[in-house]
Amino acid sequence: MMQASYFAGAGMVRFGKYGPETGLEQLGAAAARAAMHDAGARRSDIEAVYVGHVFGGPVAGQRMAVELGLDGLPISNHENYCASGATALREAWMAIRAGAHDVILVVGVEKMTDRIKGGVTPDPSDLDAMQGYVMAAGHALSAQRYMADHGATREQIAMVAVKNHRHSMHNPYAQYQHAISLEEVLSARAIADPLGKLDCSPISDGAAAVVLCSATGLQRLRLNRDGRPHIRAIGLASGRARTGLYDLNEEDISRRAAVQAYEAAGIGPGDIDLVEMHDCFTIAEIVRLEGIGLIPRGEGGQWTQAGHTSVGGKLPVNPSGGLLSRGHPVGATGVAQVCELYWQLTGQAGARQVDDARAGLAYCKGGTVAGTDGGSVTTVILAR
Amino acid sequence: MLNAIEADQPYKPIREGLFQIDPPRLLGSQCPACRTKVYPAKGFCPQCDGDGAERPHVVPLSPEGAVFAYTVIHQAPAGRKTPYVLAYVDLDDEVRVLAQIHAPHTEIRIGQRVALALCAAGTEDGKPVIGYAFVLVDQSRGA
Repeated sequence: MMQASYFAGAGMVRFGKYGPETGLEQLGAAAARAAMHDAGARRSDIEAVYVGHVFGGPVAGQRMAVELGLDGLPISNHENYCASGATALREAWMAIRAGAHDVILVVGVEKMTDRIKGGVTPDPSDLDAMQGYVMAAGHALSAQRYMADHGATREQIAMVAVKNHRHSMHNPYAQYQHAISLEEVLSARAIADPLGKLDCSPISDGAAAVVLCSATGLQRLRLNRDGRPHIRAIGLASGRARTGLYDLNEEDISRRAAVQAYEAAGIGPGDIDLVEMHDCFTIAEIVRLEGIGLIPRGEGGQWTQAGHTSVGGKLPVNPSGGLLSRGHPVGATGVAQVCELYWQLTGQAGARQVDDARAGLAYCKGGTVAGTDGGSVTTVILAR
Repeated sequence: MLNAIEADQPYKPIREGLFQIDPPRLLGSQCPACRTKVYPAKGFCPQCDGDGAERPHVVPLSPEGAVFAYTVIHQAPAGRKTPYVLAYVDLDDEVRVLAQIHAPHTEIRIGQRVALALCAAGTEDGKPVIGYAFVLVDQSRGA
């Protein structure tokens, strides 16, 4: 019998830009302390630390753990580009399911603003990168085809940014806590046509953490199991080599990761009450929601315009503000998403609370590999 | 398919095995079982996963195709001059290739006919580095 994995606590630091006095180690440690405090976990309760980051350099997790007084434990660092934090969570989930640990600290952390300029790219050795591919380019090509194939408008795509900024006005951990207008998105500086600056998630610093427990671990922390959010399933897929003249927005990698999670959780798309979606770019929110079967193919633009994906709509997406407005410290994002789901499922989300949220899905997509439909996709289903 | 770098070559390609010089053609591979072509060349067929005795063989690809999607990139990491046009080009033998189009973006449309062109991509160890891009078909015929 596999062990269930419960969320005992969650914590974040506000995403944004931090100066040289605040390193990755301090960001990660602050989020970890907040999560441990929320869970009522002492240092001696933690059995292992799983850390997701991309640009943190060698053994960043161990550098952070020393700050926390968690030195000496089993610590591992997990890299799957923008899905790194969610991948660390998945590895921790598997360790608990296997009975290897009862209380695990999972941290996603990134310090980007001092090392990334002009947007993130694939590895320089990647054939697409050699041609000048940047992440914004891939999504610009996706947006152009989406409009051509489905009759969606530029305005509908831009409305994703307007909606997510409106949501994060109520998120104290968000990098941006102000609304933006459609006109501002449309007239922002061009990045990769048709996408402008406000269609792109920012380069951010930040960290998020959760304490993950088996039933035994919960008892040790004297926490109640009833109604507590637990992981129903986590899917992980990698890109497949594509051949022929494929549909650019087919999102087969997303479909495969979602099917994994739905099947393992024993639920379907119709059971999902809210989504934390990897909106690294506006268009990405739309095509990925379609890819995981939550919105009919080609209708994502109309759904956004109609308010169906707003808090209060029939499928609230990114109540946290998403990557566009909460910010996107790449290794931290996957853990920040599940922090938001945890707060939503436990009714702690304040003015951005989704009514009667019982099951949520968090999706990350990390990296690109030339000739494939992506690097890595994770799909976390959390339910109470 | 791997070749050691030959010291007496007068140029360097951006990567070995991607293209031939004369005539300029991208080099893909074709599956002997299902005939699917892919670029760059692979030692297996991703389409049919055929495990026949014969592995895919390297073939020159069609030098012309049509623009499937394109974007003008205005912001890129240091070292790349902006703006530039990046596109998916569907070669006439049904292989999709990502590359830059060396043409004013105002002259590019979805479906636009383009042709392969080898181009300079900097220097390394005193030798020119050769890469590839696409140009408008009329432009290539005039050249």
